[in-house]
Amino acid sequence: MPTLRRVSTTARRAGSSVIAAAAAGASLSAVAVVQRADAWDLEPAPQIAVDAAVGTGFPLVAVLALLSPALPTGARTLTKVLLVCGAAAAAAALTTALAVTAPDQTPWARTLVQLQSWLWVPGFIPLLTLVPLLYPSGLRPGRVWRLAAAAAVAGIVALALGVALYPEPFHGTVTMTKPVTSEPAAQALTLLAALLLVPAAVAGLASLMRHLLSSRGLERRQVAVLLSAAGILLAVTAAQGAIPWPGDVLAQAAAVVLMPVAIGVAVTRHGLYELDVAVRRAVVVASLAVCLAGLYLSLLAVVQAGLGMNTPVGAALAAGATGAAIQPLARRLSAGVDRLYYGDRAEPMVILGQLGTELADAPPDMETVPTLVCRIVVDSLRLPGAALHLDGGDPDPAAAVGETHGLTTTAFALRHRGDDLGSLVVAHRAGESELDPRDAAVVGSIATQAAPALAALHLHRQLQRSRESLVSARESERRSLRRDLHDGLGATLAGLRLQIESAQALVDEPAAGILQRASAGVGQAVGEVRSLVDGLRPPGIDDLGLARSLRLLGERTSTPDLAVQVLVDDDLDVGPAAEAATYRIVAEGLANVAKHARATRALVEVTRSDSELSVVVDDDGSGLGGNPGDPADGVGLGSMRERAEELGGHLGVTMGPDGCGTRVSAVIPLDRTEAR
Amino acid sequence: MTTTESITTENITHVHTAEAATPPGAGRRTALAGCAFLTCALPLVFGTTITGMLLTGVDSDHRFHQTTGQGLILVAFWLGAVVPLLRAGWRGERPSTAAGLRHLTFVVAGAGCAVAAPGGGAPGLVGVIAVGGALLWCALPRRPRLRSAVQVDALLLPAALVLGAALLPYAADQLALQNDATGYHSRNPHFFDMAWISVVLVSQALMAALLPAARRLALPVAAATAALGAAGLAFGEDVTSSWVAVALGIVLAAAGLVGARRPLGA
Repeated sequence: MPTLRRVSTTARRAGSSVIAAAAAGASLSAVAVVQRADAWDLEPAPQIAVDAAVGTGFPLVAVLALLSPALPTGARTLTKVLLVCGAAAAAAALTTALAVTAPDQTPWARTLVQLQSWLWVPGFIPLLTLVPLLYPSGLRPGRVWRLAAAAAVAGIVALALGVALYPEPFHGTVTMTKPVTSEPAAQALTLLAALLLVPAAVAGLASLMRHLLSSRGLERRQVAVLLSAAGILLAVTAAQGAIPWPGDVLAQAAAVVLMPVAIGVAVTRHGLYELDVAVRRAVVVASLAVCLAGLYLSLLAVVQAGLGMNTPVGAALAAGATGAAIQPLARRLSAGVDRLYYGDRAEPMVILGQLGTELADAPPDMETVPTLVCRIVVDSLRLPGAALHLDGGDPDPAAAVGETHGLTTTAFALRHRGDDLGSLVVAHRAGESELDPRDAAVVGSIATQAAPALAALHLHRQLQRSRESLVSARESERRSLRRDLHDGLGATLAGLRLQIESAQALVDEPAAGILQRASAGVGQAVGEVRSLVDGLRPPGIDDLGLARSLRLLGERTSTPDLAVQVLVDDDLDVGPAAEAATYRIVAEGLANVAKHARATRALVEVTRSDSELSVVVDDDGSGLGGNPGDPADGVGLGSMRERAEELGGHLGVTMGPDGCGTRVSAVIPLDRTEAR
Repeated sequence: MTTTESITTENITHVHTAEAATPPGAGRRTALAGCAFLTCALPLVFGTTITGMLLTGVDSDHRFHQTTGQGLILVAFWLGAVVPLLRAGWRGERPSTAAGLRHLTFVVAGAGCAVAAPGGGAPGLVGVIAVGGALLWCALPRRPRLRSAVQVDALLLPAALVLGAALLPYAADQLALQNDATGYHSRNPHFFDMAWISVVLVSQALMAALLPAARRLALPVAAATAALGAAGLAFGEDVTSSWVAVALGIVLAAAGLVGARRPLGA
């Protein structure tokens, strides 16, 4: 059975190729016939050029698409429609050309007139009806679309019969009439065709619009490509009266050919790698042919004008020089087309060199490394997308560029010194079930080269997490210590002092003097404990809570010349480390405002989301004046930044929201600092 | 010491000297200002005069030449050849390879056409341009790097060669006309100008097609070619040739844009 299927497929391809070749031959013959007879000025002749363009372009694209064994059924139907359109248009071109140049009204010539009068219908009308219904991957599921397609086919048949039977004279070299006509039948069939084709065309447009609106990514671009080509065709058709001959005909022929080219490009990009190869080869051949022709003609012009050799010797010199250029030109063009399709895949050293350079020039923030690696992969190899996953339990990628979701992907392990760091996942080009071995080799090399930098990032993250843990543990410990000192030692000493003072009242000198000195010593110890307690944690933060402490801080900073407003949720509940960092940042920020900003108003706003705490200190003062964010400004920005960064956050200093003053904003992640 | 260790320790350290733009001194800037006057005064006067002639209708039967090779397109390419060099020099930067090649192709094409058609004062004009250009290159704090890797653009190259096939015979024809010209045209080398700009367009298109560093030349060439065709259509030149020029301009622009954007296989 597989053998039979292969034979059947081969026969189908051969049949399609024969039809396409015949259509192209008929189209070129039609142009040659009219050119030979110099009959371009006759009324029906210009249309021959457009028909010939359809008759050449459509079958060529159809055959290229049908060559692929992986063509989906829907796309196969679409390409068959294109083949039929092309064949019909080619037949229309040839019959029109022969009829235009026929010297007498013979029965054969009149038969040609009859044929050419309707052959344009299956060559053109499917573009308005069936092609939009079938594009890009076949008929949409549902009875409505099937009915629309059936109406389109029936309408095309009715219209072809209607225009064939319409009694219209043909103004060629001689004026001729059709052998078979019937005006009533033609009118009835044309009316029927209109009733069928108009809804089918509307359904086709609706199908395209639904594709455009409901699809994303590649499919949406496919529809956009076809609509762009259709728009150009409409514009050129509308401008026909304004363009002089032969520009009008040539422009329309070129615009018509854009339609199958657009469909071909879309189908190619939709997943036919084998077709990609064929198209690339075709582009190389076409490019080489045009280059050689251009080079020969240019050299001939130079030889003839420069050397005055308007002889066969000059032509031979130009041809010889052109011939010498064939091999290097073909090699370079092939590389150029490959680059056009697949970027620098053929030159992995260029890609690795670029990776090395960009890693060396990367900013100090190591978190940018995964994005940089993904971007190099996508930009250099023109792959649809890449994502980098680092081990550590996070299901989301550390970085992603382009699209990988929903596409076929290949993962490359990232290893350094025997440790698995994660994986680099790359999406295949549309239609490739496997990553091309050349792409795989380059991505593998990138993964190997990038692994040390990613290992450094891994270590950096571990270090940061350790630092955050240490800070959290330190703050928890300080709070615990503060509680112990305050409620334990502090309370004991205070009680002891009371007892000493009571005993002092019961005794006389010299014991009373000794007890007084003892009481003073214990009082001093109580003061030192209180000072120690206050130094361990920001004042009031554990007793009053962060919100109240910040409000008190705002009230303490307020003066008659400076109004401080603090916006913070009363129920704000964050870990001890985040509380301390927030308080210190706000305190430092307000101190800066009071000392340096010459502001009349300051606003402190603390808000939290699920994962982070945002701290903003705004003022309407004179601004920093120097380089914003530069720790060297000497106003405590460095210490504020350090407090945010030691918890994995960051701090920025910018101009105020209305263009004056200063805004200090810090973000502190909460998920890692929640240890209470 | 193992072999591996010796390789590791004997790695060559490449010393990279960064090219930071340093503002040139007063003397250099004075020289650049002088060169700016020398190289820009003539095209500015030329452009102003031609624009005035176009607006007032002087020599109205020469509007095609005034708009294209003798006039606006020539002035645009003339100024386009020197202004990027001057701007980079003033900032202390190295001009791009494209800027250097743009200037060189303009001057060399003019010199070649002046040798082929020496009438009408063409050698004198090109001589002034060449001397001014040479002084400008001497005054630049850093000169453009002209050595560049060849990497063929598979779409631009055929378009550039077809442009050559279309414009070089035209240039040769114009040079022949200039050599045969008498009277007004022998004193006012319109034909030489048309040949010059044709050769410049072909040269710059080929540079753009062959050198990645010069790809940006494609779009100005495309625009000028399309403008050449449009002017031909507007001022009654040969319709077919004019349409061919418009079409070639569009094709060159499309090829340049396709090459610059994301490749097809993505």
